[in-house]
Amino acid sequence: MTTASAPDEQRFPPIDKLADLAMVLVIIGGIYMAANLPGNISLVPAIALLVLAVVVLVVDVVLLARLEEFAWATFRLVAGWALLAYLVIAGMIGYAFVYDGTRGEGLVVLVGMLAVFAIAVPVLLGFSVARYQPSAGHAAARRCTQERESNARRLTVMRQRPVRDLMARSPDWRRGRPAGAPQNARCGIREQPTGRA
Amino acid sequence: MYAMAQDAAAIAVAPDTHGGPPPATRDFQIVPLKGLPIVAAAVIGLIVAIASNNLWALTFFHIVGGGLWTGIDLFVGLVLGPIIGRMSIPARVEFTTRFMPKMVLLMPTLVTMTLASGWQLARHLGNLDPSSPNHAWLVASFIVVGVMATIAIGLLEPANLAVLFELKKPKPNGMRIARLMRIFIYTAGVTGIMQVATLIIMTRVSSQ
Repeated sequence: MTTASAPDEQRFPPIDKLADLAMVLVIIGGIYMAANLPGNISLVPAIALLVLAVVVLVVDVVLLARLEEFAWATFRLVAGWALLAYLVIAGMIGYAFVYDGTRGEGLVVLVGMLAVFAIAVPVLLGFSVARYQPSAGHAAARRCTQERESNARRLTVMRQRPVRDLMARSPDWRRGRPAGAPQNARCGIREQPTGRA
Repeated sequence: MYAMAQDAAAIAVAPDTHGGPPPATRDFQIVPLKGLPIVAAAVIGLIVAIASNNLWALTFFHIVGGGLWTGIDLFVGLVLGPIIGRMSIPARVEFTTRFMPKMVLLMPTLVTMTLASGWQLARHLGNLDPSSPNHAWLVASFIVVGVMATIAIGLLEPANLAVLFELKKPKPNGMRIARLMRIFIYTAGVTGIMQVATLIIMTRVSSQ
């Protein structure tokens, strides 16, 4: 089960759609509660929606946590700041309900809904940005490719220069590595710049 | 918002189809830090208005926040959008990188101001009471806000952030930006209808 994406893009589980679903469920529950406050109402529909939203959110977070090739640094950056912002927003809404005298089970359900909201939205925002960012593995591979291409270009240029001049300046040239080229073991650049990555 | 989508779609396709040099990395803040004190001041003012239950303060936050929210939404979609659609591609990129970060701060602040003060105002005026003649209209407004919140938070905000992060890359993926911005086209109609519905409901509530 994956979300639709362009052929050149990594496919992910439907983390964004599940976060959307959790958010929609608590919004519906919130409308139900708000439409019936301050009267005595049946909390069953609101609790059912909240439980469903929690289940969806837990599944969502589990799917997210299982991702391996993912830009976690970007996710943490976006989701962290979004969490701060949405905690303020959820806090404002919660404060208004408490201030107005909402108490007991109704308040517990509302706080639960606000908690789901304050977690689902940062997950959604963080994932939506991070899914299009290169993961740590992809970034390292790209750096290695760029490094190999750079070394190959420099080697080509150097091989076009007089051999005596090069040998005098760089013993590395005889080993097939241009002078000053980084010797990056992680990229597989050892003796030959075109070596296995 | 429709034109914003067209704008980004054009930005995206340009490097791929014309084969020009890749655009330089754009140096801009996705969240403008200079705006944070203004946001903090608005939130503190809102808390004071709710805590004091002052009718003037609550009305101020609700009317100012709601008016700006609806006005900006409709203005961007109906007026600014078509203008941006006729601008050159570099101008559109320039505009998007300067305009969208401000929207990242502005719109959530306005929405929070409007909704929190609106709830408290309705409570204060007794409109939340089921016996109030305005109660049904208020429930309708909750539904309208719920739909707008779902679209804004669930679809538009993620797309907006993803586009801004993409534009910060040395080589932005044009097709990806175009695909992300299509969301703005798909949701523009619904958002416009909801904003007009908000205007109808709120003017009705305030006049009875």
